[in-house]
Amino acid sequence: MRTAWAALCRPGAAQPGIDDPARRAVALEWSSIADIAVLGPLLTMLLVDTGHPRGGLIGTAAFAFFGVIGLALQPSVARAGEAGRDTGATGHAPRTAGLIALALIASLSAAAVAAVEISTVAAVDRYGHHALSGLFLAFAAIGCFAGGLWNGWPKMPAGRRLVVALLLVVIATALPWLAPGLWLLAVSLFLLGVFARPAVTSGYSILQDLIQPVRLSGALSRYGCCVCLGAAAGVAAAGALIGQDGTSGPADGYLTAAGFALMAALVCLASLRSLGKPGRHAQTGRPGSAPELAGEATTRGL
Amino acid sequence: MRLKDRVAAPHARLPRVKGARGLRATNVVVGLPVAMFSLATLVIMALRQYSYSQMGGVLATGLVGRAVLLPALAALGNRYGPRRVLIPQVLVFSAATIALMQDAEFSKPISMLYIAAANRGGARADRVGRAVPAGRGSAGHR
Repeated sequence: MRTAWAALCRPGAAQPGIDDPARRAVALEWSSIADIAVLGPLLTMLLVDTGHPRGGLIGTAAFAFFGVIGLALQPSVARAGEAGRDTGATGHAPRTAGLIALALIASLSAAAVAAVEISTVAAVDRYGHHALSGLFLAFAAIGCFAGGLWNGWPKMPAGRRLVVALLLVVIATALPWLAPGLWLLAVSLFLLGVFARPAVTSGYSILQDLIQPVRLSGALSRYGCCVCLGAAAGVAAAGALIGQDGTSGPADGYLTAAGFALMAALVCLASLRSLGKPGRHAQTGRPGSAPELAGEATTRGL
Repeated sequence: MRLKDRVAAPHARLPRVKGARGLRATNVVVGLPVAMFSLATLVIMALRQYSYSQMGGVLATGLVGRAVLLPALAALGNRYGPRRVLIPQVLVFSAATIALMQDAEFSKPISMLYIAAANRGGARADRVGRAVPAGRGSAGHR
């Protein structure tokens, strides 16, 4: 999608709003991602609750199919394809201490988020309201909206902001473990969204500072892989701990999430020095772009 | 900066960019499966009495498939353009989603769900060609 947005906002066209085309593209993309994060779980809940349990998956396939067909027909996608062929190599990300630490933090954070998702389904199921799990996950997405206000906090370096945000994520994920209950679960998921958003944003901001622009593509791709692998580990671990019938272990799932988030915070704290060191050719002085780079990572609701 | 300005001002003007409304609507439709698919999988598997460890395993398999194929799909998107990659990708995704649904519905062996989930995760069509704008947005466009 970023390709299409970038093609739509190419320089030269008279367009209102943000001046920088790249920032305009990511801001536009972000505005739709916010819709997705809230609508997705709610729509799943609606399809499952009012139709058939299969409704959620049928909706997923249908939206993907028609959405991609619609996307492929967009003129901006065609332009993006033509422009993409011109650019050639995207470069490979170097392995520095900061990048390795960041990859580890991303994996652990993604593990925490994935553990929260399956734990929430199990917890809501335990209270006999399985169809409401989408509503609870939407609370986290709304929290992400609110967390966006933290993006521009000017007096805190990204590394330190990441540590603080991750520690707050630990507290938010530990709440349902300490005091189970549906109301508290809703509050803690909202808080989780609030604190996870600046954590994700800070991560991408640090990545952007550590890497040369020409190598950012490769680095983002690897970063995405780390997020997927971390989420896989998180959901598998939480699923295993929650137990055979889901009645005993949602709290254990949240504890797993808190543990992953705590490990991420500790790794971040231990590597603050390397995370704060810009790469030799790193791009600096482009405020505002990193938050939107984080957009895709927050599509899952966090 | 006031809270209201910080939240709304820049984004309020953005829909006036030519073509933005159509692309935003498309973006929402394309992105919804990403926000829906893990929850939908969990719900149907929970209703069919699969254990949470099995549910976690199925979702994890999809994510690993995603991690494995993400760089290759990004490279293909860069080389051939997103349009040529998106169509086959979404066909595989849709077929794998339906297969997963049927496997869960009829309580097929868990290995069948793993296979379908791996295919579906790998073929998720939300990020094709993301490598292009990240590099060009920051360098080529400036």
